[in-house]
Amino acid sequence: MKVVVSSTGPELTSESDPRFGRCAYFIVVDTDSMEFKAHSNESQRAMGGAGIQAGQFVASLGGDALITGNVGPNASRVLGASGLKVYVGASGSVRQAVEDFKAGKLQEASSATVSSHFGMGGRR
Amino acid sequence: MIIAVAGGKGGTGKTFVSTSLALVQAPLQFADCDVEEPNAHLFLEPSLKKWERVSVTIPSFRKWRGEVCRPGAEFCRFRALAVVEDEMLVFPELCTSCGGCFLLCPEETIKPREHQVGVVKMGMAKRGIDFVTGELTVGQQRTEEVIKAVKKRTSPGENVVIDCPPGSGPTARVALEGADFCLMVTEPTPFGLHDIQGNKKLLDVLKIPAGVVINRAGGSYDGIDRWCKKEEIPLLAEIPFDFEIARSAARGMTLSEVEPVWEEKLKNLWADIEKYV
Repeated sequence: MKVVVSSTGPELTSESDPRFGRCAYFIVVDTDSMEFKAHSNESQRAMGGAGIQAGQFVASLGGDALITGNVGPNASRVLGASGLKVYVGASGSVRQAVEDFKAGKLQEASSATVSSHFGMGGRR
Repeated sequence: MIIAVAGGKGGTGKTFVSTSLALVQAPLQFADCDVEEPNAHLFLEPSLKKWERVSVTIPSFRKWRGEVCRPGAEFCRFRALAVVEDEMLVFPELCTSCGGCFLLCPEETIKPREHQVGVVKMGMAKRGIDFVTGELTVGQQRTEEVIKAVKKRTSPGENVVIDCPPGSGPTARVALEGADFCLMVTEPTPFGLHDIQGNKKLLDVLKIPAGVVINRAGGSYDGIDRWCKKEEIPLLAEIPFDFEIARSAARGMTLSEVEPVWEEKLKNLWADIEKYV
């Protein structure tokens, strides 16, 4: 199974990023072999609509599930349309997040878990 | 003559000054352009019988037909359109109505649709004031469109008082555009000075002459006076920091209704402004 994890860096040892649209990297991980590939997130510094753009990008990566901290309402709509399963509440390293996912510790989210602009820091 | 009343932040007294000035100079037109938080109606008590929708054009498509337009969606830098798998999604609140997506869809998969962002209300207020106000719909972000709609309802060539939104950003700019004079309302504090300095920068760009009204005047800070002298900006009125004025304003009374002496003073203020236009 292939999962996509929002991350602050390009390695399995990097901290997972609680923000979806404005994370630094998306890491595609094979849950069996733990092989991975990092993709930098082009919408990290987008003026607006980061969650929508990131959602489209993640959908194009062809994973089975997304593992992140939170998703906002717009990202949630895009991810819902993509059919990708979304698991929230990830913490620790990317490797830890995948282990937690495999152990069934992460919660599946069918709707937004935070309001708009959560990932922009300070102002919500 | 169009007089705009602006100020740095909420609560400086923009609405109090603009409604007080309008009342003594009535009949004229009054336009409440602070459409995110309109409250001039509390002072001028209009009977708002006529309402009009304010709408913007956004993309729409026939979902049941399952069509998508990738060029149109990819063109949108604001991400108001997205194509995921074989489904198209519209995010109305991100759209700026540029119309680019329509041009890029020769098959007309994406079609224009009207989307309501606010309402304009009109009616007669105290002393025959022709009152216009706007209200941005909760959750919408197209403030400027609602302000433009309010201003469209004012008649050119007549006396108009415009109550502007706070600050010196894009919403203030849209409200100020076309004004003959701007009254900058401020408090006698360093914050107040900072705020009207921002206003002045914007007014210089728009080439609108300006004067200052100090609200809650008194105290030891003289930074506003000194700045006005240095910049050669007329300091046109000072409303004292007075408990009775504050209490009555909180009940929706304008300055001359609290203290009749201000009827004459505000008429003189209007006459002073005419000299600068």
